[in-house]
Amino acid sequence: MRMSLSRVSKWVAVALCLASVSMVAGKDLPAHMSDQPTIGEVLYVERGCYQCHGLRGQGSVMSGPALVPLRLTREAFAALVRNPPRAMPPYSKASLSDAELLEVERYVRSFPTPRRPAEIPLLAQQLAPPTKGARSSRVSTIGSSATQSPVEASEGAKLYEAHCAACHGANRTGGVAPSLLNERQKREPSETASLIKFPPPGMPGLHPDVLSSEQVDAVALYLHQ
Amino acid sequence: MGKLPNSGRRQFLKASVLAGVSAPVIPGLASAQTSSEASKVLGPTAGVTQAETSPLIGDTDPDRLIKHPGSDFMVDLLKHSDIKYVAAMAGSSFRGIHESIVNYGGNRDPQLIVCAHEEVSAAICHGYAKVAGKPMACLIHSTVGLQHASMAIYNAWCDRVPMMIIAANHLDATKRRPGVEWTHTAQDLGAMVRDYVKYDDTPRSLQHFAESYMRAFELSLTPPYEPVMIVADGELQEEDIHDASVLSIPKRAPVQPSSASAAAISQIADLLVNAESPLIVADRAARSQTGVDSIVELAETLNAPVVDQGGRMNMPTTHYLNQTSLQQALVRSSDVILALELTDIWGLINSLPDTAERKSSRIARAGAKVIGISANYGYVRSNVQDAQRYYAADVTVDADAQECLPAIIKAVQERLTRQRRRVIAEKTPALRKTYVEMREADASAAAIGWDASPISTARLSMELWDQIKELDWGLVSNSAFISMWPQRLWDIDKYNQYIGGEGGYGIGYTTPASVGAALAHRDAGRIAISITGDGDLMMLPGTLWTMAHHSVPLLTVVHNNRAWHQETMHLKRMSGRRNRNPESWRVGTVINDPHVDYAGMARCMGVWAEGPIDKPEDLAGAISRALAVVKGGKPALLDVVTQVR
Repeated sequence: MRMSLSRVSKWVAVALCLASVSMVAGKDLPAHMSDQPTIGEVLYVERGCYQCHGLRGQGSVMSGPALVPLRLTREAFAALVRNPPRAMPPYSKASLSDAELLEVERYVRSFPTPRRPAEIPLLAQQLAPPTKGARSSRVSTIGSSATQSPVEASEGAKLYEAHCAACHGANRTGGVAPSLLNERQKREPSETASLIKFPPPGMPGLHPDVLSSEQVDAVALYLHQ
Repeated sequence: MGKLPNSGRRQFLKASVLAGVSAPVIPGLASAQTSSEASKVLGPTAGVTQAETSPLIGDTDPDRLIKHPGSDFMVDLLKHSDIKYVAAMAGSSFRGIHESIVNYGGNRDPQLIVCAHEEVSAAICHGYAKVAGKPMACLIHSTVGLQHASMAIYNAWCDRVPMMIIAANHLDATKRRPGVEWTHTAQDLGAMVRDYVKYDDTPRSLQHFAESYMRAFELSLTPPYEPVMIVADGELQEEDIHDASVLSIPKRAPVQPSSASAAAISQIADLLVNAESPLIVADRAARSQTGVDSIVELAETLNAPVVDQGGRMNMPTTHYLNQTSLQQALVRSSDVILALELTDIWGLINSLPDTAERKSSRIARAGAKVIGISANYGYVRSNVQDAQRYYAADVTVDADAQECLPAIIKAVQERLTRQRRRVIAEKTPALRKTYVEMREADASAAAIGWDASPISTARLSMELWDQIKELDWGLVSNSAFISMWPQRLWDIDKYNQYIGGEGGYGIGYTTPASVGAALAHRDAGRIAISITGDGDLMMLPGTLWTMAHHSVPLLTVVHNNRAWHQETMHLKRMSGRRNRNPESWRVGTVINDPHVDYAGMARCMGVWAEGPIDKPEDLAGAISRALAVVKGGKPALLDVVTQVR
C-alpha cells in the first residue's frame, strides 16, 4: 500500500520530533532555549545559525544580518543557506537536510515582529533631541524644519483643535491626557515635536499619516506660545 | 666561608652565622668533662660577662648604609616628567626603584598601583594614557616579567599610545647571584620588545639614564605616540650616588607634531572644495577635544559626512554629519575620501571577505580620490604587520592629522566661493534626513529581541545609558563586541567619553585598561563604565583585586555570552566549509561546564558584584545599585548573561 504524501510528511515530522528530543537531551545548549523547543529552534541552535544571526534573529553588525523580518521566498532562503555569499559557512544536505532546512525556515519566520522603537521608552527618548549640553548639535527629528516650515505657526492652533484637543482639552488644560499649559517651561519646542512624532504609550501616533513634519512643528510652536 | 645557597637574604644571614661557628660557644666545655661532679655548670667567662652586660656599643656602621641610592634619582625623573602613577607587580630586579618610590618619593606622584600580573601593569598604562593624555609608567621585572607584559605593550603599540616602561636587569655577570638573577637577566632586554616600542635603551650610568629617560619620554609623546622602554640596571638602582653634583635632569622639550607642507595643504583643499560628495573617515585622528572640534568644523564647512572608525572619539554621535552606520554606502558613493590617521586605508577602500578563496574587491567607486594623512607613514616596523595592507593614496601626507586640520580648514574656507557655499549648504536638509533615518534604523534594529533572555546587547546598552546619561561618565571599553550600540544610540559628544579598543586585538586588554582609564577619569571627577567580554575578563581576573585595592570608581559590566564567541563562529565556518560535523563548534570555544560565577569571582577579590542577571527586567535595579557603589568611589561588577553579539 502506498502511503499518501501527507502521511509520509507526518511520519517525517514525528521522526524529526523524536530526533529533536534526543538532540536536546544531555546537550550543552545555550541558555534559555524554550522549555519545549521546536525542531526548528533546536536545529537553529545546534547547527550554529544563532552564532551570527542571534537567538532572536536580531543579527549583529559584527556577525550577520538580522533575520527579522525574513523577506526571502522559500527558494531564495534555501539557496542562500546552501550556497551563501561571503563569510557565511555553507550548509550542505549532509549537514542540514531539506526537511531540517524547512524546519529552520519555519522557526525563523516564527520570530515575533519587534515593537516599534517609539513604543519602547528607552529607544524613543534617543530619537528625541538631547536635553543637555550646549555642545550637542544633534539634529532632532524635527530637523531644521522648525525654522523653515512654510506652515504658519498660527495654523498650529487649528491643527491642535482638530487632532489634540479631544484629549488635552480645548484650552490645553488637560482631560484624559495631561495639561499642556506648561510646555514652555518643561521642554524645548523640538522636544514637544518629538513627543508628537514618537508618542508615549497610550497616545496615538499622528505622524506621518495624520500630521506631516511641518504640521507637527506648527503644533509644537503653538504649544510654546 | 663556603658557597652559600642562593635563597634570599634571610637564608644568607642565617648561613653566614652558622658558617662562622667553628668551636663550642662556651670555651670551657671541652674540659668540663674532667671536672668533678659538683662543678658541672660553669660560670660565664669574663668576655661573655662583658658582652652580656655592657650597653650596646653603637649603631650600624654608617659605611654600610646607602645614603642616596641611584633609584632615588630615577624617582626624581618620574616626578620631573609628571608621572602620577606607576603600575607594578612586585619584582626583585626593581626592588631599588620600588623602595625609592615608597620611601623617598612618599608613594605619591608617583603612586604605586599594585598589580597581580605584568600584563595588567602595562595595560593599565595603556588605558590611562588615552584618558589622561599623558603617559603612565610601569615597572617590569626582567625577562619573565617583560614576557608577561609584552602583549599589552604590543596592544599599546598598535593603538598608538604612549607608555613609559621601566624594565630592570642585572648586566654585570660578576654581580649576579647564582640562580634566579641569571635566569631573570637578558643580554639585550630591549630585544624582547624592540619590534613594538619606539625606543629602548640600557643606560650605563645615572646621567645616561636621565638623558635616555627624557629622550624616551618625549619620543613617546611625539605622534605617533608609542610605548618606550628604559632598562634600569640593578646596580644603577642600588649603588650609592657618590657625587650628585654631576647629575642633572634635562628639561622638558616637547616635540611639536608634524604638519603638512603648504603645497600638500593646497592640494588637499582643492580636492575637498571641488568634491561633489566628500567623505571624512577618522580612526585615531583626534588626540584631544581640539581634534574633535576641528573635525566637526571641517565636516560642517564641507557638509561632508564623517565615518568614525572608533579608534578614538572623533565625531559627536549627536551631530547630523556623523553617519558612521552608513560607511559602506558612503564609501561607495564618495568621490573624495579624506582618511585621517587610519590604520587601514586599503581595508576601507576594498573588501576581502573570509571565504576560502579570499578574493578582494574594490568598494569605493572607480576614480574616487583618496587623501591619506597620518604620522604613521614615516614610521613602520618591518616585523610586526600592524601597518596593514599597502594602499597608494592619491595624496599621502606623513603628518599628524590633528595638527594639519586647522590649516586645511583655513585653506578650504579661502577657496569657497559664494556659489560653492550655497551648493554645499543646500545639502543640509538631505543630510539631516539621512542622519535621522540612520538613527531610526539603528533604533529599529535595537528593538529586535528587546525583551529576550539572554539579554540583548542593545537592551543592556540602553538600560546602562538611561542611568548614566546625566552623570559625568566615560566608556572605557571597545564597543565592537556589543554591536557598537553606544556609538549608534548614545549621546557621545566629548572626547573623553570614548577611548577606542585594544589596538592589537589582544584579548585580556579590557579590564586592566579600564582600570587605568578609570584612574584618569577619577582624577577628573568622572566615573568610568566598562563592558567587557567574559573571555576577556578570564585572561586577567587578578585585575579585580587591583581595582578593589585602589578603590577605582569603575563599573564593569560583563557581557557574558559564555563563549569565546569569535572563535565559535570561526570553528563553525571551518566545519561548514569542510562539510564535517556541523555541531562540533562548541568544542574548545565555549565557557561552560561549569559556568563561571563572575560576580563571585569579583566578590572574592573585594569588588561589589551582582549576577548572573539574565532577565532584562532585572537590569535597571542592578545597574542602579552598582552605580551607587561606583558613585561612592568603589568598583562594582555586574555579570549579565547576554545574547552572543
